[in-house]
Amino acid sequence: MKKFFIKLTIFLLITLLFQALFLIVYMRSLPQLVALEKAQKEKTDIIYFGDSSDTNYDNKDLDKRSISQMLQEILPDYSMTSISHPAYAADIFLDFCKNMIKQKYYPKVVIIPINMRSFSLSWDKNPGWQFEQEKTILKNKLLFMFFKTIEVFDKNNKRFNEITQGEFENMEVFNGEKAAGIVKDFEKHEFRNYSEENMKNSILYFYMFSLKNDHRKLNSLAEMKKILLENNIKPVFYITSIDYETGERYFTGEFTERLKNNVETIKSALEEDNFKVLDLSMDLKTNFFTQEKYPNEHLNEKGRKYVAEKIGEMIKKDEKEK
Amino acid sequence: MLFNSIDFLIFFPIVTILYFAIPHKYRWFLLLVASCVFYMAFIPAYILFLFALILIDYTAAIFIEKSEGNKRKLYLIVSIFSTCLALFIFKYFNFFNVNFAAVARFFHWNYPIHLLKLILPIGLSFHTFQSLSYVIEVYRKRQKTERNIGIYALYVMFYPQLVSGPIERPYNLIHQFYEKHYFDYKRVTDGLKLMVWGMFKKVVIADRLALFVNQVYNNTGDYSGISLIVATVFFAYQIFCDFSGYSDIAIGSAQVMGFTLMNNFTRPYFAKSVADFWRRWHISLSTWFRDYVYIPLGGNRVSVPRHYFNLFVSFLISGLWHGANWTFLIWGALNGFYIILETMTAGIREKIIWLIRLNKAPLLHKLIQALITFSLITFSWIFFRANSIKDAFYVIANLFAGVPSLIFNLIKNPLAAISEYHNLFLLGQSYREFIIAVLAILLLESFHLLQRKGSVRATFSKLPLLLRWALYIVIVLIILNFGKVSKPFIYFQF
Repeated sequence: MKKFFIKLTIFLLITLLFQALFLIVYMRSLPQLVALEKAQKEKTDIIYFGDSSDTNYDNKDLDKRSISQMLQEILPDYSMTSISHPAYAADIFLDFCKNMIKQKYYPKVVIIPINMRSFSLSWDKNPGWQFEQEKTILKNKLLFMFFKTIEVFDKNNKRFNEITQGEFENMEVFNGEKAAGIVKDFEKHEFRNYSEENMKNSILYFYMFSLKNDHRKLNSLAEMKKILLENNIKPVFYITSIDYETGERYFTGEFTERLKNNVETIKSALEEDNFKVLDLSMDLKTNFFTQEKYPNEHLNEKGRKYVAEKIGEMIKKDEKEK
Repeated sequence: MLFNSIDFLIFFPIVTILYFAIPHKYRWFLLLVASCVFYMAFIPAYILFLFALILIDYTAAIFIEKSEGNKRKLYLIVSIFSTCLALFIFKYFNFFNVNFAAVARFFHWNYPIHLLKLILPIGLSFHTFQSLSYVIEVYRKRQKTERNIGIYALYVMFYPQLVSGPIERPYNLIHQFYEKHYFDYKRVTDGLKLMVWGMFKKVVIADRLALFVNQVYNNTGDYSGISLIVATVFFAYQIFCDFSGYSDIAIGSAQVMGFTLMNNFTRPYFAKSVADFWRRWHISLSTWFRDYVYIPLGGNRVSVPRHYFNLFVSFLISGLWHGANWTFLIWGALNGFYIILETMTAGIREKIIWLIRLNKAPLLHKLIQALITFSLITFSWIFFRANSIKDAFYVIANLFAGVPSLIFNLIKNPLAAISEYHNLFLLGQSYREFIIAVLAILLLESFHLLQRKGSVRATFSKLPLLLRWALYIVIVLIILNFGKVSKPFIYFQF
């Protein structure tokens, strides 16, 4: 029995060692984490968090650079790192910020886009967009050693995966305060098929919610603002532009009203006398977007340039006021 | 408690260490308590129901042993009836009730449906069949009654095989609880290796294939042709890896403590006929039906039509055992039909093989036989997996839609065809997932090929230590890092 336990211990230790090596290599394959590490080393002035609205472009665009790349050109005196991923949103940005502070890295400015769609069920509760592994690495690298193991062997699938696919599919979708069905019905819509009904349902699913002031993503934004300001880092929140014209086509009168109300909820949660949110939600018309058929936040060259200039202006103005 | 859970990863070493640490006379009690804990991890209150079943069969067996003639038969019937009644109430009542209501509607009778809202006790079909085999063997005088109720309860509840088998026979298991098991290095490590292999099959292969299969079979109307074929073939491997993975962990964990459970799978997809398949698939259940249904009906020692009837009935009941749904009944009936057809055409097939001289190329002959068997069995899995009969028939009707043009394009310009049709294979998953799934299936079948020449573990043990350990570590690392999020074993629902 002694021989068995000695061998078993050696086996487990070697396995653990290889597991650690494997995960170190694996972590290097996540470009956002590598970018953060590089920014920490090089003490970059600006961190630009982003989602697909930063990088997406129209195939017809001559200049296919992202918003952050355009912004770098506008602000040549600042060094900048972009940390973007499709479907990244407030909660993972918060974990990035906490990690920066923990690592004693204090950039001058952190730019945080607020994508209105990120508050919808389709994004906020989508199990595929919770980024549990990135969050675990940012919080505790040692715990990440056992991330997959716990994920695979956790019968409740709850320790890391806050929301299971089944729970997500059965969540109720709201049009304002009115129940409009469950996620399963809306996730089935084939977005490539631009039928009137599908488009209307997609818009309802993505944008027609009524944002509550206790929404978890809103709480994350407020917490982010608090910890950044406490550490003398300037947060720049901007609400991404939405193709409200197309939205109005399907929900005449309602779409703009709902959008304005939701933006107001965000502003009232974040704004103070000396702290403003850059609201670009209704600045751009349909021809600034890559998709003209249904409302989205993906901008073409003109649109990205506009947003980059607006953010650049805000940072320059703040710099002057200092 | 699921085998693929953190709870079991803690539970198993604790029970095993305690098992070897305490004196032999207390070990059965430890295993009984451990089995109760294992069972109560699902729905604790159901343990009382299980105790009641144990008590009934334990008492009935004693009465059967003491009695002769009709009285003996009566006690057997009482025992079988009470066990089957429990099974009927929990598993089949709603099914029969709904179908009876449909018949009533047809004849315009007034029959309100009252459905029972009961959760099926985990592993009910397994432990009830194990109990039945005990009383029947006592009745047949092939097994002495077990007077120690604790040992009998352990026979029914032994945690490695409590919820999904293998369905043991009393003459194979009960005596093992009295034997003293010493810590044997080779047996323990062999058991652990089998558990790791079972875990690999479950979390790396089965749960990965489930992503593809569920996507298609939960939205059948959205798919056709090659997508349905890929999903169905993947399901054939999913269910094999899921269930045989469970059996490996069960057999392995029992082996660590010194117990030998019966083998449940022997490379079933290498079978050369449907009858051969059923000698290799879920052996503990197939032999149960053979011993307690098919042979009592007369087996093959009756007229030819009666023999076919016996075969068909055995498979039909086997289908019903799997679930209270028409899909399972059709699945069972289809397999019964296969076997009958196979028996009926044996002579003709023999002549055709001789005429086309296939007997001169035995390897090719075996390959063709295995491919035909695999196709027939995989076809029957459509009914097993489909959520409804309507879905199953949709899959069958659309199974080959667009396949000829796909094959034509693949031959004409493979690269262009792959780029055009790749989504039909990926079924909403990434290339990475698809490649891992296919590689895992190939690895599995390579192991099976190796097994044909003897034990893989014996082959591995001849490798140099460094290589052997490297291999074990790689498998564990694959489980830890490429396993998919845990899902209950498919056979838990039965």
